This record gives sequence, structure tokens and C-alpha cells, in this order.
Amino acid sequence: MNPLLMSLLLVVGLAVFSRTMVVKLRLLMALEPTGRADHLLERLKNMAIIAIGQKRLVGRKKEWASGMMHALIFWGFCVLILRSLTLYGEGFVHGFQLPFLGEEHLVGYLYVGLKDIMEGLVLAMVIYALFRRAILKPSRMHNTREAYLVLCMIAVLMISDLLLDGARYNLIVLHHNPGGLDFFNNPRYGSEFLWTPVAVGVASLISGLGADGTKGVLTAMFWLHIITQLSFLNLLPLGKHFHVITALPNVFLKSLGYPHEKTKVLDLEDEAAWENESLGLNHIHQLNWKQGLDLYTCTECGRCKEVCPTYITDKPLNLLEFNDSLKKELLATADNLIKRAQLAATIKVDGDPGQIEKTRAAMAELTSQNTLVGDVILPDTLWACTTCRACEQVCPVTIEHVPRIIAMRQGQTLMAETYPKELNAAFKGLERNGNPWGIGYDKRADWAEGLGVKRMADDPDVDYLLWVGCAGSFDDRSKKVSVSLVKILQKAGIRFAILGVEEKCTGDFARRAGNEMMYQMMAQENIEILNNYKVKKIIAACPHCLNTLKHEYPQMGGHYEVIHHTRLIDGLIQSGKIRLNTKVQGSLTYHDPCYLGRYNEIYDSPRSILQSVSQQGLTELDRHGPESFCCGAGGGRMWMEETIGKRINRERAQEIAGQNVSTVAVGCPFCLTMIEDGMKELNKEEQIRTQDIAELVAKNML
Amino acid sequence: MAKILVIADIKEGVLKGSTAELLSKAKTLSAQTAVVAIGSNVESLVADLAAAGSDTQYIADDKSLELFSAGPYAACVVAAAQQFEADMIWFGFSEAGKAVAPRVAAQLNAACATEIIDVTLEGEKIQVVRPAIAGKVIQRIQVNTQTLVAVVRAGAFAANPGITGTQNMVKLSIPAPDLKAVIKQILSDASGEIDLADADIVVSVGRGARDQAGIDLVRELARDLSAGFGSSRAMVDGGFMAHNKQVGQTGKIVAPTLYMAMGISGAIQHLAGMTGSKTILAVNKDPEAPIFNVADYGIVGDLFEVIPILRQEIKKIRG
Amino acid sequence: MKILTTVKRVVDVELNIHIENGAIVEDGLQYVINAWDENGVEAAVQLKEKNGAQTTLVSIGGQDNTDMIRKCYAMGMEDAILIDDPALVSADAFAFARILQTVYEKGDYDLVITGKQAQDTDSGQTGIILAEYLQLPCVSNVISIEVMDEAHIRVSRLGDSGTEIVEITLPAVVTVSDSINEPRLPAMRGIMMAKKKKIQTLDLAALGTSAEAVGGAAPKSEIVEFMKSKTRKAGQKFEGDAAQITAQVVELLANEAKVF
Repeated sequence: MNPLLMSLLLVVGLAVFSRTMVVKLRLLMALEPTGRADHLLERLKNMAIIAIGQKRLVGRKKEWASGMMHALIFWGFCVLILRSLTLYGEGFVHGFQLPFLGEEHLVGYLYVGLKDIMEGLVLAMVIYALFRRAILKPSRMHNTREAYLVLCMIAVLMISDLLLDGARYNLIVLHHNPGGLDFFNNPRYGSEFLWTPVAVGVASLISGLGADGTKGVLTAMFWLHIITQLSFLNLLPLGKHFHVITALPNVFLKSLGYPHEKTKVLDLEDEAAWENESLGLNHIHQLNWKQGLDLYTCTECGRCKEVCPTYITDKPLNLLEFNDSLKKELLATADNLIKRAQLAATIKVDGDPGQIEKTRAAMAELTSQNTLVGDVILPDTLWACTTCRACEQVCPVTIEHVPRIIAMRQGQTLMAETYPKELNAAFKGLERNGNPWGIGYDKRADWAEGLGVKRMADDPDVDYLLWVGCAGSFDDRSKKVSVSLVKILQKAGIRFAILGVEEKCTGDFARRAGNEMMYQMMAQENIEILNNYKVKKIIAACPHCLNTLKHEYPQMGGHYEVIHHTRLIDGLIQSGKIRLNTKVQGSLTYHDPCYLGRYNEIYDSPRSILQSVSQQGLTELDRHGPESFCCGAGGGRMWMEETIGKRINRERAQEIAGQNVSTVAVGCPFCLTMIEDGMKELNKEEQIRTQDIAELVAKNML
Repeated sequence: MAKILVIADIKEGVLKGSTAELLSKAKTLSAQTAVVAIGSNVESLVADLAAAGSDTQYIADDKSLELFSAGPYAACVVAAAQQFEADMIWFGFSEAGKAVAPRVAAQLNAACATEIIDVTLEGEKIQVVRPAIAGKVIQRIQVNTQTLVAVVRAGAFAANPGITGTQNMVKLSIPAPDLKAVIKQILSDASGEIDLADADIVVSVGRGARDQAGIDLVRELARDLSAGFGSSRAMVDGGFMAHNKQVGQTGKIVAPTLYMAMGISGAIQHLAGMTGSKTILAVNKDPEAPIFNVADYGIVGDLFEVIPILRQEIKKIRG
Repeated sequence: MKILTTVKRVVDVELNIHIENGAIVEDGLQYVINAWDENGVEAAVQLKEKNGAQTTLVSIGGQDNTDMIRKCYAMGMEDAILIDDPALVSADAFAFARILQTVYEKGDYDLVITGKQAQDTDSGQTGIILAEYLQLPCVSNVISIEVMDEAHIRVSRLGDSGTEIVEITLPAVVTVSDSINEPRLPAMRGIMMAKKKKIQTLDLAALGTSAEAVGGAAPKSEIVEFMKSKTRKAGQKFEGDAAQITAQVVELLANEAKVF
């Protein structure tokens, strides 16, 4: 078309874009390091399924329609990128085609047809999107000017390209191609326009224009498209649409093997860390680059908010805003942050202490004045989280919300020494007697009196260690579950023992509340005992214990095979070691515990057991499986007061009560307590019994 | 014959039951008894003091002694003890007693034991028995000095209405007031309500009552029975009940004839304050509540439902 | 203002206590800071933070006490004196008070804060005896302390007829109730720094006294036997129709327990 103009546009457009991207990249590189260069194949697979396949949008029953809408727009982009390249080429060389996409190849025709359909679909989807945003106004969405602008720009891109092709068609077919335009006409496949019905349809809309008018449209649409596209490209890094560029890498780089980045084991003896306040997340510059990328990638879709149990119950934790607040702080302090990192890079381990001192002082000057918790994020917001991971489960771009919250809590508890004081009693109990209730450690095995349960201290030669947990040892309601589990294990002839008074709290809640010191103390003591007994396999009835023993103890030298009691029981039923001779009467439903489901992906074993043990079969709750609704006790919240908004457990109890069931089964002592309490609050504890799966099996086994 | 001096427990001009209980015990040890009464307008109680079982009444009656002050009170007791040549000096269970007894012991170079539940005398050898370690163990203590100062646990000794004493008043000189620790104000809580320490029946309210409506309901029951009205720690912490109503390890320790625990779960700290009661009745919605492990009679039910029925039934029986 | 706080190491009362042959079985027991003294430490640290008071802690015991003392450092106490002497194994409250008197007289203290009682003895004597020996005013069962000026404090006390507001002329002794405050958890940073702080350890000779002088060798009373306390047994529990069981129980109260 016009190589000079095209060059100019490309140079300017790409130069500005590059500059923006370089700054964004430098900012990420100035953040803390983290390793993500492993397991490339698995990463590619994730990217293919989640990012390219848009799994979390089209694979989700809820909002499937709007998920499909976005997917189509995205896939449209993927397809149309080749078209764009062709257009850029056309700016330089008349009739430019990309290799293998020329008229000689079937692929070329297929592409042309696909491109045509996609453009129509994308346009239709954009219109649908605008309609949804402006008219339907779903509550999770934020209607910003940027959102409308981007949708309009996409519409312009589609319309301009369709009009471009329409004009082309008219010039070639109606006006007998006065300018000698290029088009496909391979006799094997026919005219190009046989394959582009949408463009042809659009052409008919402007068929009234004469040849000159049509040529004018062609040229105008061409440059409109190019300019819009280059502007669009440069607009992307400036707002939520940065995700268009960063989503694929963000998913590629997401955590593997565990749903999110594991909490760091802090070196509490490190004086330097105390000095520069790097224990936990205290300043924005302490984010690692992946977390920075997460901030860039938030699409502001609000799905996280929608499923968050605290947001739903009117607490001030709005994850979209959480992300946004951090992002704003990051961008606002970008310059200083980059300078600070440059200074940090100049410090040599064996350098001159005076110089290091000066550099450190200069670095301190560049640290943001805003307190991360206080100015950027409110304390109530930070502490409301139950760490249930519902947000991470639905996030289409795999942002890892929870680790940031835990890291900030670490900073609060260790450095700022501000945290909900109700936790003090629980921390004290841990320290003194190894359980958050502070009940004498010598009573930890009282629940097992008279059951003939072996202690490891008497005979460590067993197949399994049964990890009872604090609730199972001390909480009157949960003790019944421990007893049921013992009955099942004994009936099945499993060789097991308990640690008894040697067992201590795994430290889960302390870690979630940011008290790394308490957690490490518990972990060290437990690991020492477990390793002394050479424990290999552990059965846990509590998903929190399970999670910590299995995924976090390895960080400190404890490597064990940990199995949830529902997995074990399911196996026992399947293999016939346990036989059920009666069934649970009445309708039955199951509440998926967060730490069993979303943290450890155990959804099937409990259901398999419940199907076997129930007369009427299992009714699913609306929010079940990976989208189960938290009971409210996780994240250390069991030990904190719930003073804001509605009560989470009541919310869930109401949902369960709405199912009209006579029993709700759970697989976690926290859920057991919270849901049973919720039923009591609703005065429904007689109608709806809350039972652990172990209790249901024990009651009905032969 | 041993000489036992009992410090009279007087509140708002009324002689409290512990005085008679301590004097009765003294008589069972075949001791010569005396009391010391300190305060304002206490001289009028001499007859009552004698009737309670004392053979001599040491009186320190002055306006300056109206409000409790450890220094002057200790001085009066020491003066009485020296005049009487007391072998043992017993205080009833009260904050005043706990504050004064050690001072008296230090001045007299005597041994001191608090919270005693029994005392034995074999010739000159005095031994006391008292709980320790939050009531988990009982200690038997040998007194090595000639004199013992003791604070007696509530309800440890039984009053014997059969015993009586003689009126023999001795006036003590009034000590100088302690200007270094002066009570400026007393914020009395719910005056007119029966003192927990003295009450024959105590009705206590716990978290099961939920709110003010529940508390008022339980209070009605207490009124019906002219009982002392107490509370578990939960309701004190919640701001519903005053500090001095708390029955428990860190509050008041009571040992009434009948203790009614309404909506109280029975945490160890609370039990420590009332397991000395003769009969315990508990009402709680939760059949597993630990209170049922110590209650003689337990009703599993909602106190909102049970209390009206309870009041009705009690009215029927008591007439 | 200079504050002296006393801190005792006691057995953890949460645990089951077993008696064998009239003595307590030590095996399995753990020891902690006396809860009421913890309140005292918190009160002292709050006065430091609010009124700039200087805080010193004194504890009588052995090297086992150092963990507890470091926790108090982590809470904010500035200095600590540990009196460690084998002759004190049979000391009673009077002997402890004499030792504390000696410590007090070596310093220039305005206020002594002790917990109102120790969790192992539940006696509540030492602080008051100390006040008597020092001839200082003493107010016990205190639930709040407010500094009026250099020489006066105002405290509230849980008395027999209500809460007493008492104005005290310093120097004085105050024993605190657990209702006075919620002791803070020693913060991590405090614990780190406390590891390096020194604890002044003295035996009786270094303190300038002796076992005989404090009466440590001849206690005024001594424990000759420990016994298990009688536990109440569960009685009858009634479930069912409220009207029916309540009537039943009232009948039993009248005729069986004879309380009505």
C-alpha cells in the first residue's frame, strides 16, 4: 500500500510499545527472584489447557455462555494474528501472503474462511459483551471506561477488516477490479469469496458506493485497522488488558505440584532479614517477579470476588481490589523500585562496610512510604481471608492470591507485631501444650482410653501412624470421629498406632496466621519424633493436618506418605475389608472441605464412600467439588472472632438446609464444628445431622 | 486449752455467717474463743458476736475504720491477738482477710496459711489442710511456730447453732489511719443483692443465657429462692455481669447448700469455684457439657424452657 | 519511676498432677511462668510504655528460670535479677519476702508489683509480707494502675463490697489480679534480642545475706504430705420432656437432697 507510511507507523507503534514493555520487564526484574524454569512440558500442557483452551471459562458450568464469549474472542485473536501479519506485509508488498497461506495451499483457503467466520463471531461476541456489560450489568464486573474502550476497539478492528474485505469484494466482483487487487482464485478451490460469506455479506451493505468510493473505503479501512491495532497494542500494557500479553506466560509460569507457591520457610535467625524487614511481605519491593506478573495479569473479571466466602458475607476482602491496590502501589513506586534494585546489585558480600552502609541507606530512602498493610491493604481485609482458594480455583489466568496474603500476615505477625489478639491464646496453647486450646498435653490420648489403641512409644512396628490432630484429640465432637475411625481401622485389621502424648499440633493454623516461629517450632518437634520412629505412612482425618504433613513438612526434612482417611476407607470398602450392612436413611449431601478438595484434589473417594453407604444416594450442593463453599474456619480464622458481616458458616448451613437433606457429610473436623454450629444457629440441628464420613461408615459397617 | 481469735466478718453492719462457722470449729477443738470486730458501729454487734460463740469480743469501733484499710485493720488484729495471747488467728474468706492475714503473721512472727479447709490440734502441734495447684492436690502442712494465722476457705467449717458464748467486750485503741493508701471511692455493684459468700443457695448464669433477657430470667429464679446470683466468667467478660459476681478459680469460691448452674458448660476454672457445694443442679442444652460430670442432678434442656417450669415446681413444693 | 516485679516459675496447672507416697510425681510435669506474675510483668511493661518507668524483674530459683526470664525480656522487661542458692530449697513465703526485701533495699524502687498469688501454692502471702517487712503500703487484688504523679498512683481493687479506688503514696507494693490486663505474647523480635541479654545471677552471699538471716533454714511451716483432691462424681442426668424431667428433679431436690 504505502511502505513509507507503514514503516513509519510500525516504527513508531512498535518503538513506543517496546519502550513500555521494557519498563514493565525491568520492573519485574527488579523484584525478588523465584525459580520457574522447570518441568517445561508440564508447563506447556497447563498453558495449552488453561490459557489457550480457556478451560476455566468454557469448562465451568456457571457463566458458560459468557465464558464461551470470551473464548471465542480470544481464539479469534489467535486466528486473526496471522491476518494482521498479512496486512502489515500488504503495507509493503502488494499481495503479500504468509508462507503456506497463499492461494496454492488448501490451508490458505481454510484460513481465509476461518478468518472470515471468526471475524463475524468476534464481532457478535463483542456486541454480546457490550450488551452484558451495559445492560445486564453482572455484579462481579467493574464497568470502567477502559473496558468499553477496548471492546469498541475490538469491534472497530473487526468491522474495519470486514469492511476492508467487503470493499475488496465489491471492487473485484462489482467494479471489475480496477486497481488489480490480488485475490485467491485457485481453480482447485474456487474463488476466495466462496469461502468468505461474512465479508460478502458486509460487502452487500456498501454495494451502493461507486468504485472510487469503495476504493476510498478500502484504503480508509486498511489504515484504520492498522492504526487501531497499533494503538490497541500500546493500550494493552496500561490497564487490565495487559493480560492479553501476559496471560499465556503467567499460566505457563504458574506453580506446579501444589496449587500455589508454598509458604517460604523463613530464616528467623537471619539478622539481616530483620534489618531490612524482609521477613514476610512488608514492602512492595519484596514481591517476587511472578507475583508482579500476577498483578499485571489481573483481568478485573471479578470471578474471585464472586466465589470468595468472605466477600459474599460482606467482609472487606475484595480480591479484585486487593490485586488492584497492590498493582497501583507497584506501578506508583516503579521508578524507585528499579533504582533500589540497581543499588542492591552493587552490594558485594566482601565489599567495604562503609560503602555498603551508604548503599543500604540510599536503598532505604527509595523504599515506599506507604505501609503495605495499613496504607495499601487494610488489616481487616488481610485477616478476613480463610485461605480457601476458591479465588485461585476460578481465576482464568491462574493468579496466586493466597500466598501473598500469607506472606503479608507473616510480616504483620513477625515484624509489625500486629495481628488479631484473639490468636494469642491459641499461640500460647501451642507453645505450652501443643494444641490451640491449651489443654494439658498429658490428656492428648485420653480419647483413646479403653479402645486398645497402640502407642508408637510402646511398639513402633506398624504399617500406619494414625495422626489424630488437635481437634480429634481434644474437641468433644471430633473425638467421636477419632473413635469411629479407630473402629474402622481395627475392623479392617490395619496395623496402626498413635503418637499419643508425643503428638503436637502440626502448626497449620499458626502458619496461615503468619506466625512462622510457632509453626517452625511445632514442625521441628514433630518431625524429630516422626523421624525417630522412622514413620513412613500416615493416616490423617483432618485435611489441614494432611496438607501440612504432606506438603509443608518436606520443606523442613519430614518426608512421609500421607493419606486422608476417606481415601483409605474408600479403599477398604472397595477391597471388601469393610462391609456395610446397613445404610444411612434419608437424603444425604456432602460438603467438600477446602483443604481436602481444592488443596489436595480429593473429591471422588468421599463420594464413592457416600454412594455405598447411603440408601437414597448423594445429592450435590450447588457449590460443590472444586467450587465448594468454605465453612469459614481455615486460615486461622477458627481462632479469631468473626465480627464483620454475616457468618460464613451460617451462610453455608443455609445453603445446605435449602437442599432438604437429613444428613450432611464432611471430612474435616473444622467443617464438622462450623457446619454443626451453623445448623444450631438455624435451629435445624435435629432435622439435619452433620456427620463425618468415618462416623457414617462406622455406624453402618458389619 | 488453745486460744483461737476469730476476725468477725461484718458487711454493711451485718455479721456474716462465716464468723459463726469459724467459732463453731474453734469450739470443736475445745478452744477458748474470742472475736475481733473492726469497723464503724460494730459495738452494737457484741450480743450477736457472743451468740455466735465467742467468749470475749475485742472491739475497734471508729468512723476512721469504716472503710477497709489493711494497715490499721492489721494493727487492731495484732493488738487483740497479743492481748488475748492467741494461738491461732482465723479470718473468714474475704478480700480483706486475705490482705490482712499475712501482715498480721509477719508482725507476730507467726506462720500463715490461706484457704485452709481443715485444722487439727494435737497438743501443741497445729496442722492445717489446704488445696493447692488450682485445687488439684491437697497439702497437709505442719506449723512450726507457736502461733498460726489462717484464712479459712468458704464453707470449710460448719456452723453449730447449738453453741454460744459470753458477752465480754474489750475496747481496742484505735490505730492511726494509713495515709499512704486511701480509698477514695467504692463503686459498689448491684447493692441489695445477696452476697454470694453467705448465700445458702447460689444460682449462677452462663453463656447459655445468651443475653440480657436470659440473665433476667435466671435472676428471677434467684429471687424466688432468695439466692445469691452468680456468673461464669463468660458472662462477666461479655460485660453482662459484674466482676464480683464471677464464681470461679479467679473469682469467688462458694460452697452453698445448693448450687444451680444455668447454661454453664463447666470449664475447669468455674468448677474450681463451686465444687465445694453440697448439692449441684445443672441445666444445659448440651448433654456432653462437662458440668454434668460434677452435677448431682442434671437437666438436659434449654434454660429458657426449663426455668419457668423449675420456678413453678419449686413454688409448688415450697408453698 | 523504678518498678520491681517478682516472677515465679510454677508447675503448669493444666496438667494432671499425680501423687505417689504423699509426694508429687515430677515425671512428665512442665513448668511455666506464674500466670499472675505474667500479669504483673505486663502491668510493669505498660507503665514503661506509658509513663517511661524503668523495669526490673526478680526471680528466685535455679538456672531453669532463665527461659522464663528471657520471655519476660521479650515482653519488654529491661533488667533481671535471679537469686539462685541451693539453701533455698525449703524456703517459705517469709524467707522469700526477706530475700525480696534485700533485693529491694539494694535498689531504689518506687513500686513493687507482684502477682496476687502463685499457681502452685495459691497462697497469696509473699507480696503482702514483703510490704510489711518494708513497712510500705500494700494494696492487693488490683485491676488497674494509673500514675498520678512522681509520687502517687491510683489503683482500682476488687474489694468485698465493690471496686475500690485507692490513691497510694509511693513507694508501695501492689499485688495484681488477672483481670488487670491480657499479657502480650513475647514477640519474635523480642525473643531474638532477649537471647543476648544478660541476667544478673546472685546467690545469697552475693546478695549480702545468708540462709539463716532470711529464715530459709527454719521455715515457719512446711508441707508434710500431698494428697489427691476428692473429685466429685457425676450424679443423675435427665433428658427428655422438659416439664416431666424438671418436675422429677425438683422432687428429688426436695426429698432426696433435702435442700427445699
